[in-house]
Amino acid sequence: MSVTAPERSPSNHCKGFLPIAVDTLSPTSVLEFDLYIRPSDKKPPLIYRERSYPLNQRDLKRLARTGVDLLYVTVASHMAYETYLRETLTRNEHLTLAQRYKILRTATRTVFETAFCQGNLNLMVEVAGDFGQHMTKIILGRDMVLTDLIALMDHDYYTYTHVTNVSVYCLAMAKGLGISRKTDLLAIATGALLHDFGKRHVPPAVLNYPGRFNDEQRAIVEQHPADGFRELCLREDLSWAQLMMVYQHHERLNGRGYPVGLGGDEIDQWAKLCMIADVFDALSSDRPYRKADPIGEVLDFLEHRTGTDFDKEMVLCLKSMIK
Amino acid sequence: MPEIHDQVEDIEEMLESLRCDIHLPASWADFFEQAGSVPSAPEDKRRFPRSYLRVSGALEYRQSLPGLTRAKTWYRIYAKDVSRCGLSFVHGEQLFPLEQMRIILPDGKLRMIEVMRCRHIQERCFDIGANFVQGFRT
Repeated sequence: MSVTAPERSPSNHCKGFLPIAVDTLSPTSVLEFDLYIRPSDKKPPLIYRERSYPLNQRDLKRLARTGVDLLYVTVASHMAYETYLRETLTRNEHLTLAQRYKILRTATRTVFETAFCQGNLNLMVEVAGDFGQHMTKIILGRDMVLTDLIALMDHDYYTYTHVTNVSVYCLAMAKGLGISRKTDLLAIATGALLHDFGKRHVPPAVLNYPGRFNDEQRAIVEQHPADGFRELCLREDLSWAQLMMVYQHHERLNGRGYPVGLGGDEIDQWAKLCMIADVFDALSSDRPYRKADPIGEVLDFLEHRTGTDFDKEMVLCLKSMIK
Repeated sequence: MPEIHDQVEDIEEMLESLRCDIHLPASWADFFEQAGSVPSAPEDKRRFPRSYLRVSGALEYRQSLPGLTRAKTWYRIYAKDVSRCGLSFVHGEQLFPLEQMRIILPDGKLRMIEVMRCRHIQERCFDIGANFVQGFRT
């Protein structure tokens, strides 16, 4: 994958519709939602399959043969699609970790990107919650080994892949630290997925800048935790701890972070998880101006900075989980 | 502390009675001596000029963010500078963006503010920037 590719453009976005990946569909007797297909980028979606009309294997093969990897559902029927997806993941107990993760990642990626680009806050929080639920089940699964999951992840550092990776790392660390209540794990996963919400306000030219930031660019980027907090803090469906993941994930234990410059115990525990996951993914992913570092070196980097920047117990937990 | 509506008659007496946990840095020993216009920096994006206003004031907490519980309490703060649209002040605790509160300056007039930014200076010392607002969110 090209490391200079721009942030994915919303060319597949269409008002009133949400893209869904064909990979997430399986032959079924009936769907509870209509499927639409888009003849071209310039044209609106047209009905492809009404909800009462079965989708079969031949249809899916034809779509694959003709290079169609996205269909559309109306925004109003997004919940019906999510229910379908949830049933697919739970009904088929024989799906491997890799299959579950691929379905989940593919399913939420396009919707998440659409919601992010449109600034559709309600949809983003809803998608984040759905992703968190599915991911929590995967993380709590007996066959979950973080190293295997890392091998399945993308490491291209686009916004969506970054926030989902951070969500996975946060969940894994939370589980490793003994957090077992599903509501807590779900909240951590959702908060992590939203942690970079404020980057919506960073111009793409700065976000994708292929080099080190100058002072002006750095000042712009350093606004994103506070910007994300401002957009989310009046919502009643996010907890204070989740909001602190958004607001404090760039703070550091020694007080040299931003936006406030808090230190030590002044930083929320979930924010401490998020900052480690954030740095881990940043360093282990390809960036526009640098290749990913080997995971061993990234873990050493984090461990050398325990006590000054990062919580020691959390870093060691992450290290122990990556075999 | 009695309910205050829009004007305080004896501001000095009120301030004396308020809790103040602020620890100013030693390097700010001349904090209350600065006066006049605040010099603007080349990268300054502020819309209006600021003036030093190095006096004590009063800040009233109120519940304004769903996830953060605030009891209605008055604190003494140190004003730093003021402009037409807002002010900065020093407080002993962290405040968060979009928090809305009431503030009283030495003129005794009650004003409504919304926090824009907060920066930690040292223990028990936060530099807060806020805008004046016409009314609180409902």
